[in-house]
Amino acid sequence: MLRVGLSVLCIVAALSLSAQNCFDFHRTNCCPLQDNPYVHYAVSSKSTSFALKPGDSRCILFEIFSGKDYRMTLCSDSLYSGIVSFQIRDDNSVLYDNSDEDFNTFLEFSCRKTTHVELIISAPNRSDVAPETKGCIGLLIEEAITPVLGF
Amino acid sequence: MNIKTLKLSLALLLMLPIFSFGQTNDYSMRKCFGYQRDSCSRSENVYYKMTDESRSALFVKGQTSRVRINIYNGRDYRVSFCHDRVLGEGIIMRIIDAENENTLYDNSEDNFATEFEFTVTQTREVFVEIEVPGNSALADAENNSDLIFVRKDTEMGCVGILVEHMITPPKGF
Repeated sequence: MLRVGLSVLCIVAALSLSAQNCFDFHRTNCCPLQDNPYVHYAVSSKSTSFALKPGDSRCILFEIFSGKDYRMTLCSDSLYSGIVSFQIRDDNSVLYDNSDEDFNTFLEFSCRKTTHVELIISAPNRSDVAPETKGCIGLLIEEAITPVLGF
Repeated sequence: MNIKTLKLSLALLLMLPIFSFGQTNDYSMRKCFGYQRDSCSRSENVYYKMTDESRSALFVKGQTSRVRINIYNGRDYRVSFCHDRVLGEGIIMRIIDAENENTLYDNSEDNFATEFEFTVTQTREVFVEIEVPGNSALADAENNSDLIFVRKDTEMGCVGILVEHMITPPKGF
């Protein structure tokens, strides 16, 4: 009975360790490219890090609110060497696609209309690595109240 | 007062600056607060006093904004502005009659002067309008309600309008 218990404990520990490989990757690796002294951003709880196999995608449901500014910074480990696709889609269309901007990893915008969006992050295909290899990707989402412009 | 109360008072006293910092560190407030007071140069004429109608605000390139002020008969006014360098040069200041929208002064016809002094002969409400030249997605999006989001311009800066006044000095004997 004790052996079975110990085995289960080992399996659970191993699983949780492997899940935490990319733990807080976005906090330690994603640095916003530009700083705006007029806007004080706070890290959103929707910021996330995860492991992806080459060719896989992850969809994050997110709601952007009117009257807020957002700053999104994408980062990845050396497996993907900065070529990670990032799209923002609403129900009807693609609002942003970083492949149009040479896989830009930084986006800062002001939201004008509260909308549910999907943040789709796709890892590039790699033929030179084992299919089960995973790399870490982090998405740092920061938000702030849109500053008032003009008098 | 026993030792325990004294310790508690001392601890509270030490924590006071932390609390007061936390209360003033309000990032929802405008970031250009007091800019006109701190950054715009005042007249060398000591009789000029700054009015409460002086204002400051955050601007992006391509933006136009105006503020309404009252000017009173029998007073001299000096209206000047200053801005963050990031907004570039050639910023336009206009003084517009609030009643009929007539432009009373336009600094683009005055070599983009940053100050203008005048004597008021009729009490009026006027607009002081600031126009920052250039283009930005944020300024262009002001009139487009269909947009879901707008890419941010990082080139933002403060503009301050300083309004000073004094009683018009009598001329002659």
